[in-house]
Formats: sequence, C-alpha cells, structure tokens
Amino acid sequence: MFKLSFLKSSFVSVCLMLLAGCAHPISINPTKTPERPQTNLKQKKVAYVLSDADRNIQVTTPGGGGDKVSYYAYRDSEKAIRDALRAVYQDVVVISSANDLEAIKNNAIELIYLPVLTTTSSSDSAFTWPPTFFRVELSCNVTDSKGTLIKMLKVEGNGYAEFSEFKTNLGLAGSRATSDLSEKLKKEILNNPALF
Amino acid sequence: MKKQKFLFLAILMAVLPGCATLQAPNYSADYETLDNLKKLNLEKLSVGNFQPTDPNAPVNKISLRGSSMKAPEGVFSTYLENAIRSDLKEIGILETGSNTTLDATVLKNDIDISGISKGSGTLTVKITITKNGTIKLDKVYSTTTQFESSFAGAVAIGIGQREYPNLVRTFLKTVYNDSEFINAIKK
Repeated sequence: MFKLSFLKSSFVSVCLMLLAGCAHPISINPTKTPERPQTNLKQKKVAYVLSDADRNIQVTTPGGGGDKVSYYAYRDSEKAIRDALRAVYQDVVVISSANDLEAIKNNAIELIYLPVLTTTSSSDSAFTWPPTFFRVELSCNVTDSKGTLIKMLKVEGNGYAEFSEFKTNLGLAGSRATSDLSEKLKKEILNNPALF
Repeated sequence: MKKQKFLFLAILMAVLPGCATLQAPNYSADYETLDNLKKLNLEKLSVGNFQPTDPNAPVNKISLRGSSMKAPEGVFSTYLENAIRSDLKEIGILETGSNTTLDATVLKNDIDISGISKGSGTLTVKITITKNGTIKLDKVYSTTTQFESSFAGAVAIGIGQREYPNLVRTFLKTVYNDSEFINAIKK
C-alpha cells in the first residue's frame, strides 16, 4: 500500500512538473543593428548609462502553452542601443551611473542617454513555448552633462517569428525586436535636431 | 506494473536530453573594456588565421545534454574570429593588410550542463600576435564561467545555449585587459 501511495505521489509530482508553466531561458541579442556610416557622424561625445546590476536583471514574460520565457533584457539589448548611438555620433561610451561626474568629465561627455526598457512577449501557439511576438519599449531621458533634460525619447521595437524559423533560435522574435528597436532608435535621434 | 512504466517514462521526459540542433546566440562585447582599450595608442591590427576550421574538430562541437549547439558561422573558431573582428572594428584598429596580425587556435571550447544545478563554460585559446614577422605575443588564455543550471533538461539546455556568448565575452575581457596583450599591440 505504501509503495502504491508513493508511486501515485511521484506520478502527480512529475505531472505537475511537466504541465506547470516553467520559464524557458532565451537570448534576445539583436540579429542586425544599424551600420555605422563613415561620414556625417555628429561630432559629439555621448554616453549611455548601463551598470552591471542592470545587465544582471533577469526578466520573465509569457511564452506559448502557458509557459514563460526568461532573459537578460538590458544585457541582450545593450548592443542594439549602443550601435544605434554609434550610427549617429562620433564617439559613444558606456558609464555605469549618470551621477559618475568623474567619468563624465574625464570622457568629455556632452550628452547622456538613460535607457529604461519594458518588454512583453506572447505566442499564438498552445503547443510550443517560444514567443511568436516580442516587444521591447525603450524610454530614454537624454540630458546634458549637468543633468538638464534635453529630450525624452520613446521607441518601440517589435519582432515576430514562426515555428519553422525559431527551431534553432528560440528567442528569435526577441532578437528581431531588439534589432527593430536599434534601427528605430537611430531614426528617432536623427529626427531630433536638439540631440546633435 | 503499467503505472510504474508510465511513471518511468514521465520522469524520462522531464530529464532526458533533447535531440535538436541549436544555434549559439550572437556575440556582444564587454563594452567598458572596449572603451578603455580605445583610449590607448594601439597599432592597426589585421585578423589572421583562426583554427581549427574543421567542423568535426572537438572544439567546434558542443553537446548540451545530447542536443548539439553550433555556431551561426558553422564553426566556433569563426565565431571567435568574428567576435574579435567586431571588437577591433568597434575601437577603430581593424585594418586588413596591417603588418600586425592576430592569429588564434582554439584548444578547448565547451559548455558543460551535465550537473543537476550548476553549469560551467570553458574556453582556452592560443593567441599569437606577429608584427613585421616578429612574434610579439604567443600565449594561451583560458577562461571558465559558472552559472546556475537546472535538473530539467529543457531548461538546462536553454541556459547552456544562452551562456555561450557570455563565455566568449568573459574570455575576451580577460585577453583585452592582459598587460602582455596590450603591450604586444601598443604603438
């Protein structure tokens, strides 16, 4: 009797493990970012703010089949943000804090970008967990070296992927979203003369 | 007996390795390290020979609990080559045909998720820098990363896949911060 109860409990536990939504790890590194032109770069030295603590933030959003996906939003999006800035400005550096006055002074930084990311994902499949849709929203305060707000930017990157596409790259929708974000950020900066 | 068989199969489904072929995610650099390198007075560098290029070489195959992970470029030596090219271009010192050349041979390359709760990555590469035919650096660098893994195969495989660019980033951070490397490429 004990054996049967134990087997029943084990069976239920395994089923719960299998059936309950779990967070599948993915990467959303961009597949493509804007090319840096050889000419016409704005002659400004800018910084974006990103700390190791930001890079280590793990985010969980919905996938398919009741499951979720987890990823490092800032770490994976850094290249997208940096390459967008490098497609506009002559010199781009990363600093770990907008209050790092020494880094701002030593690097002669003129503009500071403070990115804040919000992400969401979903799937139209009940049977496969990788997202078929991914969105990365970027809100970015741009200040001068003294912290005075110059402009607030809002940019949204979207990515889509189907089962036949994401079989080897399960975060493909996310990678496409960060790629889309990168291109749109570049265009948004170029649309704002106050930023150069 | 039927119930025992079913339980056995259910457990196997939870922990068995997958059989898919996965692709390593794209590389992204340690940008703080690149920003520091940019400030130095460095030679222009060309990227030379990266070995091995044989897809069947052990370093070009990574198994994640039975699932095979490949580089988007086909071989991991080329993944590393492209990562270095990207970094040198980022800091403005990549120049095809330069008299200073960087060659590399990958000696060990692995993501190990065989453990039930911890995983590790290992990358060992011999880097050679030659300037005008004279060897300025001939050194083996090795990096190991540690990360949280999972008993569940599907989760562990995803973590292992995601950790590969982190392994390469950590490895190159070590190389770029090494004084011998810097001295070999300084003007």
